[in-house]
Amino acid sequence: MNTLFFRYVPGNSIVHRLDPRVKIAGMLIASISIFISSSLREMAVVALVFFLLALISSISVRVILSAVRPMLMFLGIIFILQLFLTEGNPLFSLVGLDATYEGLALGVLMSMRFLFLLMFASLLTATTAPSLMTTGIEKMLRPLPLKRLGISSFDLATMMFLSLHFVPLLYGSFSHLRDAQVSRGLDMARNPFKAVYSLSVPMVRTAFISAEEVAVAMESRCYQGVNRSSLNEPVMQKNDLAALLVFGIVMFLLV
Amino acid sequence: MTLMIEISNLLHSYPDGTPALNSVNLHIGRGEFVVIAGRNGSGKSSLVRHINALLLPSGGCVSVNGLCTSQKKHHPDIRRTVGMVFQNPDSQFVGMTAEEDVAFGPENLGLPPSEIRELVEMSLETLGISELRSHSPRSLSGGQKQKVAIAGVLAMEPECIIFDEVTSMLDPFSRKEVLDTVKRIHAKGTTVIYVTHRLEEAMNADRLVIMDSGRVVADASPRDVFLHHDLEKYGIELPPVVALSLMLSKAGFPDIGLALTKDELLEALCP
Repeated sequence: MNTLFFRYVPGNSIVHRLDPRVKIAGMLIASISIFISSSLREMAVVALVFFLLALISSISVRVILSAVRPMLMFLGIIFILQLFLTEGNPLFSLVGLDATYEGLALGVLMSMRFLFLLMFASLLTATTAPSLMTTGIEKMLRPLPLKRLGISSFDLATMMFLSLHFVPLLYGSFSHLRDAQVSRGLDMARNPFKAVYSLSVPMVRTAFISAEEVAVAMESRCYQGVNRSSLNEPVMQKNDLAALLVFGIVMFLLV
Repeated sequence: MTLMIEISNLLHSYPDGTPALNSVNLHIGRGEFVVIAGRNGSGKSSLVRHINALLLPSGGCVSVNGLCTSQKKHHPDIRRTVGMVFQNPDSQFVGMTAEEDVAFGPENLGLPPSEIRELVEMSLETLGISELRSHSPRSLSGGQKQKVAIAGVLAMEPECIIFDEVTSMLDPFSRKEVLDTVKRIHAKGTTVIYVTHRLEEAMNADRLVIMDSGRVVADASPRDVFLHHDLEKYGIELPPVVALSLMLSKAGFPDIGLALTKDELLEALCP
């Protein structure tokens, strides 16, 4: 796996410096506009806005692509299903299935939707330091009556943060396990089912053990899930709100 | 010396009933440097986890500055007083950058950002790793990782730090660096509890506590422990210098006595 996958890329662009709450809200706006956009023209606007933002934040194409690459197969399946299963004017025929013009358009639109959703998400994670993201999420959740459900906004934010944190950790233990099994004669290519079995069982076990270890380490450093503060406390400024307003208007008017 | 940690008749059993600790008594004073050694499974790690209230006694009592670990309301105070650095730094990082990780403890204490910033600067500087602040802790070398982990504990300004086999995954060079750091932290007045199975690392300690099968079998100055206990019986290898000096004095050079360091041995051999 590429280690750039949804990773934070330190920088000092305008996008980097925006309040994390603005960026998270922006992400929500972007997702809504992506899902209500129903034509390729509207999708082009989304794409334009995205590339403009990516350019301003000087995030390299590699970082964005690394978030998309693992999902390409999924996007491909969506495209193919739409292409063949939509009724309309026939485009070409393959093993008894008719691809249609309408299917082609819908397939492109659907896979574009997921593609841009992933790309906006990776732009968010690339330009927002994880600690700021956690604080931002926590502050946005704080007004919700979570206490009645027996959880705190701090707990929820920490959970989200830890799940991001665990991705590289788990990938590391996966590589170790794979190497250990392959060195003892596991043939991943010839016997994929056995490989899945002999990797997934110890993988689950390892995941639980590392979760336990991190939990113990967090507890020993006084984590209690209440009243945390943050090294980088975000301060909402006029510029932040203005940026959100402009972004919101652009997305909703054009899409 | 004022008493800081008081462990009396501590019992601890695993969920399946096997005893891990068997009536352990141990008193540690403020500012002491105590090394706890023993073979794998001797109970040394379980013992120190009790001091940090990560494990709770099945019987007996552990108290830190007079606060008993069996009362949950004392846990935040106890963990703030006694910090703990673990064997595997990778499994204790929670920050994406060294700086964020070091800030995790002070953040949990709910301190204002400016104060957190100060604590982070102070601990990074003490460890000499200020230039690593924006690196991901995972991308660092073993010794650097352990230093970030130590800085993370130091940032909470604990009165006592437990080092649980912190050098066991390091190469000799980083091991020495980390050990020097521990000594420096102790010199500034922090109480140090240092768990290891390498007795070379115990030479500077005020006290050497040997554990075996969940009991304390020796508790004295390192010199007295080497002179009066047969450590091989407890599965602990003597440091080469100590073993050599003891062998020489048994083999007809009684003047040599017990040497703890190379220099002492040299001095005894060619006075």
